Amino acid sequence: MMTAFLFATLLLLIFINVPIAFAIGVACMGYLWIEGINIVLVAQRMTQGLHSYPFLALPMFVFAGVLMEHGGITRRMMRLANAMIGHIAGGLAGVTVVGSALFGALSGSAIGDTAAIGSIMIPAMKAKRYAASFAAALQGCCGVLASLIPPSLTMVILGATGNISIAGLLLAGLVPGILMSLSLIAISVVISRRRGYGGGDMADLRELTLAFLGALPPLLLPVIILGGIILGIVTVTEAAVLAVAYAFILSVVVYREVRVSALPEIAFQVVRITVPVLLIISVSYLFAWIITTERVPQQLTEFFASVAPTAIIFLLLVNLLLLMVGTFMESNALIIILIPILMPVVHAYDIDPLHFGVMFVVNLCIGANTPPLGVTLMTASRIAEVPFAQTSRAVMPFLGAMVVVLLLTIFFPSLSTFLPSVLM
Amino acid sequence: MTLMLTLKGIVIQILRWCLTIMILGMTLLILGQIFWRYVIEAPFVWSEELSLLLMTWITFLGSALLLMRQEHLGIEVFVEKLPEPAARLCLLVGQTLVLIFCLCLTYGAWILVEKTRNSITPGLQISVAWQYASGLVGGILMSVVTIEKLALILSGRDISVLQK
Repeated sequence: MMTAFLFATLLLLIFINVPIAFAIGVACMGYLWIEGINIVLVAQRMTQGLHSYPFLALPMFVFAGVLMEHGGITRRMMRLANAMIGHIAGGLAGVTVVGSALFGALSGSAIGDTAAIGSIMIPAMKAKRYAASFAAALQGCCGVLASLIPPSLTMVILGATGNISIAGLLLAGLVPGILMSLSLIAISVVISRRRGYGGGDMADLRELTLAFLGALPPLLLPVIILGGIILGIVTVTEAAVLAVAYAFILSVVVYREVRVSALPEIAFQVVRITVPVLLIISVSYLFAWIITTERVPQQLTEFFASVAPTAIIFLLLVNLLLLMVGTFMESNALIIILIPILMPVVHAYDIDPLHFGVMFVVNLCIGANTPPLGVTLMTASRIAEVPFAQTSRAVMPFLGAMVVVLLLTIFFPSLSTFLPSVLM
Repeated sequence: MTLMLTLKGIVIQILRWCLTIMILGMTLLILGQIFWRYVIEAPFVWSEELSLLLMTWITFLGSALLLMRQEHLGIEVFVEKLPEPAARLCLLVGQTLVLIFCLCLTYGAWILVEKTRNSITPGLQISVAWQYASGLVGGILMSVVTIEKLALILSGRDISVLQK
């Protein structure tokens, strides 16, 4: 009963434009007040929630990403992507996907990527007479590749809250991430052929080599990060800060596109991107306390045991639930609220946590692009200057492709678990 | 009134600089930690604790600044579609609840600061109260920001700045 109150208040507050972090906070406060629990718990849980060493990786990965963006690295990634597949029909669309996958591997945040790459690719696509709504829809879907391809912030948060190996999750997301990229390219090529969105000239070998060499130093970054973590030399947080150091050397010393005097401005941008996420993490920790006190995980386990005889049915039910809530809830908040509730059930069904984690993230990616509220889709729509309603229609085929990838991830656990089992 | 505005400007500038310095400091600290552990092979015991303390302060102070700049993640599409009086009412209800929440955070943090004043942390050897003081300062700042917004809503002036 109280759980229903909690969720209803939360939704209502979100609809009346209370920022998500505060909506969670207010709902929890109401619960504590009704139940007569000491209100000091709010401050205590919120402070304690931030006291987790892996979370330090968040600001650091964002820092590396912002440095890369200012350092002209986005441009080098786009050039490589263009040299690789710019010539096929719908080539620019393909470039957007490949570029987002490559760059997403650096910045690790969906909305940040959508803004960074979208501001380059959407005008470029519009200039080549792609429909603006198509460009926006594609870019929105590409933004989420950052959540699947390492080093992804989403995976760090997931691992830290669900007590799942972060290194394992980073590797596990790779194959579904590549599948997702391929399916987005396939859909764009089909649509582009039909509507006559043209390709460009084929890059000669010289351009291909130059583009590759130019993009090589930043491409080494994910290798360094993953290598360091897998070999157990550094923790995730330390790997993230090494990424900052590497990005700093590249953009300030090697490419010389960032001046040292611009550093305070860049650092403040990091604050602007990470603080909202950190505040959500902080209040979600309070929310998680209430959920545990209300014995929601136990009730949920019993509920699923009665309706879902097998693990697959359980997974399908969870996905249905996620697809619904994912359309209006922020994905980090969803992870912190739902993962502690669901993990005991996952263990009860004997499902591999890596498989479950990746499936969860793929699902959130779909939610972030589902009208009426998908956040990344909205960001892309704003950059493309098209009404959201048009983008909402244009995104449908892409959503279809994403659902197919989701189903593959659900039914073939080895897509997620194969790489970690071989490499770790 | 002009005095208030100048004061507000100064507080914003101070916050901005504090946040910038803290995030740069945190980065150097973790970098230093790796260096000392692998190169000099003499890890410091307090660096992890200090970086977490900095992150807590960054979150609460940053939240206050972003609240002022309307940069927290939220969903505005529904309120935007409402006619003006209804939108104003929604914002009024929402912001009042946010204010109560911020006061609640401030009160709780104050109690915790009082309680933990004499406990000492294992690494840094400073009072545990420093950790909770972030919620106290952040809570006060967020309350002030919210009161300012409430004043704007109640004054009947244009509220479009709050709907971004």
